[in-house]
Amino acid sequence: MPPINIQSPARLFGHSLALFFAGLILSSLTSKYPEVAKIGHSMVSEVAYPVQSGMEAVAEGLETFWDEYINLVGLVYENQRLSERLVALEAENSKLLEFGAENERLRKILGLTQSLPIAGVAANVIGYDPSTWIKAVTIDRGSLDGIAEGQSVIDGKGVVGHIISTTAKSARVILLSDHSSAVDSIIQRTRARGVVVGSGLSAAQMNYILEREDVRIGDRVITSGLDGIFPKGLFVGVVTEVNPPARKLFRQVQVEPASDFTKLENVLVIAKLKGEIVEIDPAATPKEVK
Amino acid sequence: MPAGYVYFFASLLGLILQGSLLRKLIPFDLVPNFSVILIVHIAFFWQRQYAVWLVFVLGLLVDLFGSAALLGPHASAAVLIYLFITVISKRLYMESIMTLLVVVFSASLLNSLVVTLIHNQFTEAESLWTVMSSHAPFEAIGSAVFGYFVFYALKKLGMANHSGTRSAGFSWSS
Repeated sequence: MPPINIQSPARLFGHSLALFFAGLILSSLTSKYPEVAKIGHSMVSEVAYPVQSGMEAVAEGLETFWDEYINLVGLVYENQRLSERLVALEAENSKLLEFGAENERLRKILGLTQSLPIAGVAANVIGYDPSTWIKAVTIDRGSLDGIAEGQSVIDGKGVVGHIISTTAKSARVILLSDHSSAVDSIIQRTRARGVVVGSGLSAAQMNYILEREDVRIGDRVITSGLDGIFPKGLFVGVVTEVNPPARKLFRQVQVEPASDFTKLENVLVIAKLKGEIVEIDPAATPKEVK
Repeated sequence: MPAGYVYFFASLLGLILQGSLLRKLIPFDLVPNFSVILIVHIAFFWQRQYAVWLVFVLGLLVDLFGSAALLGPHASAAVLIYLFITVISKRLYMESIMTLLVVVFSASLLNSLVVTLIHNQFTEAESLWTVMSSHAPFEAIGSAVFGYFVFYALKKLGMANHSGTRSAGFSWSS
């Protein structure tokens, strides 16, 4: 069986090496000029948007069909109602705890609290990063809806991520779990400050917590509002592991994010704030806003 | 339709599917990497002079669809996988389904390895250990399983014994 029309080995190696290095050069160039990559991403997003929306509708349809007609109709409704109620109560509880602590501090220091409502845009997740390790999602709201780069994104449970690029009708959200994601946060109970960074997995790490700080498993982690992206008081996650510093200044703290990034459906994009202390309207969870 | 276009549009469809519908339907990280499957198919059955350029374009499509700031890592990885499989394919018993599964599985792992190494070279990304110990094996398993069906579908489209490809094609029973 002779090979037919196969490339000559020299030409195959020549072309392959040239293209391999072309890819490396392109990587190097786009690492220095990320706007080039963004233009490419935007063009592809524009083209893919209608198909992605269609696929999402098909997926939703299949999911709905399965959940509502095959998998015991009544139980699903009841479970959904209770789940939503639980999420709302958890969010409200987190906010109440935060407001209590905040009021206490402010009464002592300022004696005054200035609150601002959050203006948000509800959006549906229409696509995930094609990479298996989910790092970003695409939402069905874009610059026409007032979405801009840097805006923070939450869901009913907590922080999801922030906007990294937009097109007219869609936007990409880099998730909290991504390695390049960092959120200035505090431990709600002790006010110990650190930076929550993604680990690429479903867990995240809270870095730069001083050794003397009191951190325990089960502590709630919330945004500090100091990074200029996320408003203060959003639920980030729960501490699951605290390692003593091994000849280091800082503790290593593992955080389980509040949101399940593999099951994102509805999110809320928050207008960028400038470090003000804000009050989050409990009714402003994505589903209800929508 | 010329085979090159079929591969291109199949890759586009695969990217959209793996980023939407399949992500919802398939648990864990078992979502397949259609680009890798198609590259393996091209290396097995469509060894044309300009096939490596098509492979580069398919890799670049993955970069464009992805969220990473870099364009190029998947394109380079795709070319490397193609070269590797083209070289070893002459020594493989391609009539066996096990060959297909093992090659797609290995190609997917190689893809993850190369992409992560390139990413780490230029940006802050997941460590090689994290990728290879958590996501990559699942993606490789998913790709191998879906590879069977993709190869079957392409064979039905007449792509497994396309004119100008190796005559030693894929002939596992349908």
